[in-house]
Amino acid sequence: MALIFPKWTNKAPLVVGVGTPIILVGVVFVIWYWFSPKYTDVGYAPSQPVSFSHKLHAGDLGMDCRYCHNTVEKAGHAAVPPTKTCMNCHHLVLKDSPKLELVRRSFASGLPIPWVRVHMLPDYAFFNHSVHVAAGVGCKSCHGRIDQMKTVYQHEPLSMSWCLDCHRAPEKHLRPRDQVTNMAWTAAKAGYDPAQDAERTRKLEPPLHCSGCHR
Amino acid sequence: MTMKKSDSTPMKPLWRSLDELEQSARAAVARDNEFLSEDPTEIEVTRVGRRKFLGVMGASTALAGVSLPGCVRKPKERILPYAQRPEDLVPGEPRFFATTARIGGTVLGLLVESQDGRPTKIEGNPDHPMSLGATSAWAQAEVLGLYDPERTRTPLLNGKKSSWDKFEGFAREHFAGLEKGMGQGLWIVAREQDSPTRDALLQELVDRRFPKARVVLHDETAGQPPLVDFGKADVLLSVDADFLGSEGDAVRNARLFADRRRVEDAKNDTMNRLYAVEPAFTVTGGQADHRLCLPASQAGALLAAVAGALQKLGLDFAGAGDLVKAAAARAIKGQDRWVKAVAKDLLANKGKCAVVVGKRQPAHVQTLGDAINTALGAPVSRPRRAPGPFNATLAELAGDLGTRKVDTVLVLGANPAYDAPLELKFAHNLQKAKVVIHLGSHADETAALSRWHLPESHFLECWGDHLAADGTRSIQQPLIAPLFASRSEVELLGWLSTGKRVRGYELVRARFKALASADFEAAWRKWLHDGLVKERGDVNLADGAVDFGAQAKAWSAARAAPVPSKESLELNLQPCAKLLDGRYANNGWLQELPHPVSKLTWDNAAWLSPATAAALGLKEFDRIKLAAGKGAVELAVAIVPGTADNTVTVQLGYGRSAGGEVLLGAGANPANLRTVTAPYIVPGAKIERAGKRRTLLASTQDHWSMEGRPLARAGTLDQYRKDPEFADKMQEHPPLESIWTEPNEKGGHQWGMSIDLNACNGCNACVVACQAENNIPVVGKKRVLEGREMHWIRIDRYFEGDAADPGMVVQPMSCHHCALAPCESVCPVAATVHSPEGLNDMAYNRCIGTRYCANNCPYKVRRFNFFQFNGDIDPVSKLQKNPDVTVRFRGVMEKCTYCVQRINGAKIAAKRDGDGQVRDGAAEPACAQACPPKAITFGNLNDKESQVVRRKSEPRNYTLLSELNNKPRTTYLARLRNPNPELENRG
Repeated sequence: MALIFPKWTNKAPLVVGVGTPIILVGVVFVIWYWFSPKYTDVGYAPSQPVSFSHKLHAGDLGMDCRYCHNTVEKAGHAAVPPTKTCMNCHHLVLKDSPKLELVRRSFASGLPIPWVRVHMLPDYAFFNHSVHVAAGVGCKSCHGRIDQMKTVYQHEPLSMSWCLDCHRAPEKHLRPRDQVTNMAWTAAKAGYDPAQDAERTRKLEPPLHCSGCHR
Repeated sequence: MTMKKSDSTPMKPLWRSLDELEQSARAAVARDNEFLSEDPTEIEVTRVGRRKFLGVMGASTALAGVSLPGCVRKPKERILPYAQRPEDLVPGEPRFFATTARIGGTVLGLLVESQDGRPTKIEGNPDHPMSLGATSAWAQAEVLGLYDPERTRTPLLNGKKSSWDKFEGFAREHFAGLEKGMGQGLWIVAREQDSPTRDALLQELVDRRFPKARVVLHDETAGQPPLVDFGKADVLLSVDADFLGSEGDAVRNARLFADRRRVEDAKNDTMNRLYAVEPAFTVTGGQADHRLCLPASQAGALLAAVAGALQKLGLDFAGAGDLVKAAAARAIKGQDRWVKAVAKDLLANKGKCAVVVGKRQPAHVQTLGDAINTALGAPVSRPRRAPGPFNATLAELAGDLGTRKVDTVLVLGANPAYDAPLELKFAHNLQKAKVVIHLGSHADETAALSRWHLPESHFLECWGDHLAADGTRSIQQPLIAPLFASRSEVELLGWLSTGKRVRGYELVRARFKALASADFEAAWRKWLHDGLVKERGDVNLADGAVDFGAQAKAWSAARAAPVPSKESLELNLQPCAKLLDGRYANNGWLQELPHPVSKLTWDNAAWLSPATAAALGLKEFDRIKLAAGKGAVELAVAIVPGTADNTVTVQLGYGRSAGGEVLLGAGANPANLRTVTAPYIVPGAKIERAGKRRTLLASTQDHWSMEGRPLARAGTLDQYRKDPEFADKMQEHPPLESIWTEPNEKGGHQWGMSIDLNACNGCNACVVACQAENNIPVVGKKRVLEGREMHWIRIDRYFEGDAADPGMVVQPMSCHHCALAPCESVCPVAATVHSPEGLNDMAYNRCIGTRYCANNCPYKVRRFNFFQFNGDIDPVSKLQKNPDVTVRFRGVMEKCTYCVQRINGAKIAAKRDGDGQVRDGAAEPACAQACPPKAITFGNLNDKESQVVRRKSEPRNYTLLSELNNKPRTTYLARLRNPNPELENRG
């Protein structure tokens, strides 16, 4: 009588028994790693219509972040500056540079420069810059060393768990308010302890509940 | 459920949803499947079958796995900053501008929120005497009107696209021709605007170019009722007057009236008393301490009896003695007890009482009210305004049209082809004019008969000015440039007058030059900032002399109104509390708003009292033919308690046939039943059945019993004085223990709300305010029939007492934010959880749509997105959305959040600029802010000085369904009545 099952089927239980867990673990790993914002979002560096270098302006020239992003202390958005802000200097400096052609055109026509958004939150998450700056969270904590980026890229995952890490233990990310825009500042170097800061009169209570950010 | 088509309009289905408006694929499916299955879950919504869908989903998941970063990355988003940012503008931060508008018969001072240049929300200006910081439902809905994608976008010539240049070319020649004949044959039909600039420009146009032109005032809301200082009136008699709802300065009236009904101190505080006579419930009648249900035609006779009784009691009527004598001869019989009690009460409160006569009543009844008020020294003034350039009536125009004497009709915003009485045959006659020019926001019934239809700017798009009833001037400041090629009425009149395009800004500004004492520029800026002008200028509001003698003759001449009977009913036409005269018919928010009394959406109906319906053998929703005079209209029956027997009440404003998709199929137009002499109260109406059919009406509350449970609690002032905590004691329960641990909510801010049922009159302003603030979609009549309306706050209306003579109690109901929330314990995915500040949070992106929470909510306040209501909405409509609130997608639950976006905004401001403590009043939900009588109070329960703590510590405070031990954060203050002891013990 011919065999109903070929001989290799003897190994099937072993293959299935060992293979299934490996595949399952593999699937979990793939989703856990490759589906996370850490992999998908960090490092996102779209090319911008004008090759503006933060390294040059904020780093080498030492301009303060708030010269351009001047609403950061009073509004939810740290507004991308109007073309006028660029032209404040560039009507004198490099006024014929071909790289600035789009800026000059925008200023003349009144049409906006179509910048590409780098740091994107979902529409159901509401973030407010002003309250974070008021609490003494540095720009660097979320945006990284912008002063060293020629092209801005996303430095942190901006995922919910990443937000909550800080909201649960904000002390590690706080600095004196006058150092918020200082990219090179570190707590260790400055020997700063928020608990000892006499200027901090209000106890920080970053929200941990849903409606803190989702409205 | 079967959706049948209406007989009168065979081409249109009875219901309309926004889906149809959007012409989406889903709407097409819904249209094809006319006969929908009984089970709502079986409604097919998309042509993609389930199997196909799973296949597609599987494939896309697989694809995502293959090339991750490219596919998972969110779509590229652009940031478009200004080239030159305007000074003071901070992107993303809302700004508020003061403006003003005439809405529903009152001039309201408004503060409008502008989000990056888009007006998104209207609030009342607290400094303006007519709004006192609040608004009406109509004012709240105006932003939707601004972004109505069906507004006319360009001038239309015979219905075809044209341009302003072409119109100007035509009009220059045409009006030059008319000017040669001094304007002979030119008729202008205009609305009431209470705008000195508009009136002056109209007058100028007539004086300068067309002295022989005739000008007609045609407006349902025209005519200023007496201005009563309700804050000074302890006893009020309302004669068919809806002064808290659709008549006059209702927003201000509601506030002043409610302020006299706040009895914090059970021992010492007093309360006013309202007697109301009316043929069917209005929000005013619902607030009455004593309500007499009479046919409207008998209301005058009742007032005559009161006047007679007052005279008998010794009140000196001075110059109006003859009038009272003439009226007393017509006094009503058989109401002696009521009349005597009212007269005694009025006299006992001489100087602190008032009679308010509704504007639907004839002039001689109004004058009698004036005479009584004068004799009683009532805190009432009857502002007399310059009559304006109006010198003709619509009937005269119709007559001239009929005899072809009319060359040109210029219609400014009005819609006479829709609402003129049948006998004028207006729509028919209008076609006999050589040229009809219509300025209006929508291509409505009148536009359809016009050669030129010109788009009119919304009040948020153009300059103007208004004069309130008390003489306060305010400037209408635009928030946005016109979205379409529209012009304002003022600009059109300016052009016609001078032939030059002058901006509305210049025209309005010019009128204010004389008012500034010194520095005009500084004064102008201050007026714009404040939203009102303190300088009175030449405004003369002195009381005009009333000719009592002439009205005495009118009383003698007036024939006694026939007493309505089953065979000859009395028809009672009311301006609708939702659509007014039809001008809001294309506004989805107002169409879907439940009527304050009938709770009907998307339809009007023939209201009958239970007794009359029984006598006529009619049941709810039976289709009838209602005939009066030469007209007839088909309607469905709604049985509404509190309607006078042998009368039938119908709301105006429905049955529009042109001007948008939203308004089509909503109700029937009763204008056919009115006559020039009897525009509101029509005798001799007849009802017959129209076949055997019934029409389903979408009511949000078809049930008005509390099922024996004390939900809306009410008592009398005496009861309250004897036992201040009577309301709390109405529900007894054993000591309560919870199986859940109560959340530890102690420190920081603890939010709570108190709703005063004694102040709430059910006007619906909160419902629309909530809809505007929280991006709440409109779902259409069909979905309302399935019980799927999305309003986060609703107003429950209960009739109480004897079915033949009921009282009305209203109770606003939204999420109670229970500490031990039953919804939270059943959510399998923790999408609804508690915040440490006592809010019942709803995380939309976690919700998987099991709807367990809605099932377990004892207050039934959770709403589910059965469909993608916010899917492919028109780009123009999108501009209205509030950027601070998530636009919810299909398949998630939503509900009142206490306007958490406003709470967070206030907290962020407090953390940024202060000590982190939100001051009382800094965080106010949309409902509380809009509420005219200030019935809703919100605040921090940990702040012992706050208004909400004060309200909650009043003895009238009670918790709804306290026996369930939910510990809700919203509590109510019981309703109180202040009955006259003489009338209380009925025989």
